[in-house]
Amino acid sequence: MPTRYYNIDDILTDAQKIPAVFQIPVPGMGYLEHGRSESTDIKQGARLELPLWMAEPLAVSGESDNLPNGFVTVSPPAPFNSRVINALKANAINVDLRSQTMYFFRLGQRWVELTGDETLLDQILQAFTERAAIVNDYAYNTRSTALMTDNTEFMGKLDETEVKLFRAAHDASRQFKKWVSIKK
Amino acid sequence: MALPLKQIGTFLPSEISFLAENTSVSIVPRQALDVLELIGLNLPAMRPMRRVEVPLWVAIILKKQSRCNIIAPTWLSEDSLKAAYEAEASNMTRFSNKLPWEWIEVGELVLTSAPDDLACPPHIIRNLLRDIREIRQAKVRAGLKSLDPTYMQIDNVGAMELNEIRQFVTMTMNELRVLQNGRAEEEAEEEVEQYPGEDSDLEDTLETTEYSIPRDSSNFDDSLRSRSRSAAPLGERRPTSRAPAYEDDEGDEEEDLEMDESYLHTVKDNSSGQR
Repeated sequence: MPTRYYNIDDILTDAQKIPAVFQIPVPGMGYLEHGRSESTDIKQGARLELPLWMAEPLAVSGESDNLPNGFVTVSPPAPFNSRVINALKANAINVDLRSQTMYFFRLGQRWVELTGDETLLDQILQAFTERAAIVNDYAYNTRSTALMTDNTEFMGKLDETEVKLFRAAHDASRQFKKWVSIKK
Repeated sequence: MALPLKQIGTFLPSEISFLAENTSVSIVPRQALDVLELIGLNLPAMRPMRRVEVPLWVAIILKKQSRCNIIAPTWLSEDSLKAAYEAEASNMTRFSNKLPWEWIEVGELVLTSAPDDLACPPHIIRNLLRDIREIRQAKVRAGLKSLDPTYMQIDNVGAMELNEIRQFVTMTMNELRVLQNGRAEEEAEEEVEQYPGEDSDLEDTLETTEYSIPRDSSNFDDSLRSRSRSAAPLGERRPTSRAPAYEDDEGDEEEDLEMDESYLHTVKDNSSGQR
């Protein structure tokens, strides 16, 4: 999906960092690496964290016979390493996605679009569906002790997309309660 | 739009309840009243103790002025509510068809405006309604666990219940669709070729946010079922996907609701979908 230009979530997703390895030397851009001065070059094989908006075009362009992988090769960003994915598979609800990245699912979608990693996509979709149902439960029971846990702790684990879902469900339940209480 | 963001794309419970005030109920007038020609409808002439059918909002006004008694709808009696509860409890995967589309709203309105006209104490009715609502909510919750990006069917769910989950479900399904996008790319391109005149993105949004609610039809199986996405690619489903929504067209509000909803989505999409 082409990103929506004015969508703040898409802009912020674009700013997420992706580990990339440069396949070519880039003169004069050494300052992108930490603690290096402006006059240096990025060397071939240098390992950098590039924002998605820069990494994506660099990774998909520049392919030629002596550059089979494009200008940079990208590797999975930290939120999609096997530790997190395994945790999602084991128990999607308890994984603290927010500490990984604010935009776990959006970033996942962009990453899958870039790499075509369908197994990862399936896992993300599965996790999203599972978590969405629980988000709905929590949104309906903000004050009750039915779920026996602290609501704020759960909220702290949600990524931005899920926070929006939570708000939607919570608003719906609150408005209904309000309507019933006015009627009585 | 000037509406707050959370009200775009859904209704407030008060709005749903306002729509439900148009359902007709029987009343027994206590005073005579000639035929009243209003813009939208003609009120029948009323003679004391002669039963007439009027819209609920008229009934509520007359009741407030002690000019009539409201006869509660048949489903709003202790026995039929108990039967409805039994039907709900007997099958946890589908909603029973014993309650009308606007059961929460009408129940609440009749209970608050005419508690003295019910055949049994209002608290009994109220408790039964609450029990039914809770058991149905549990089913909705169970259904939300199996959301799918392209298709959703809930039969016999009420207007208020539907309105309550609308925002959450549409957002979740849209998000799933966005997530799916990397995989569905080739399909989407085919679709554009097939329908060159349409804005495919907008169409997709409308399609995924559509509910079909065949109320009194006979297939109540799988009231919460989701078809696997491999079963029918979007492009192929399009020509038929709108059809099953209204098998009976007696509920005008239902249709209004659908139209309003798609209108709202159109507006939303136009404002946020610019590239």
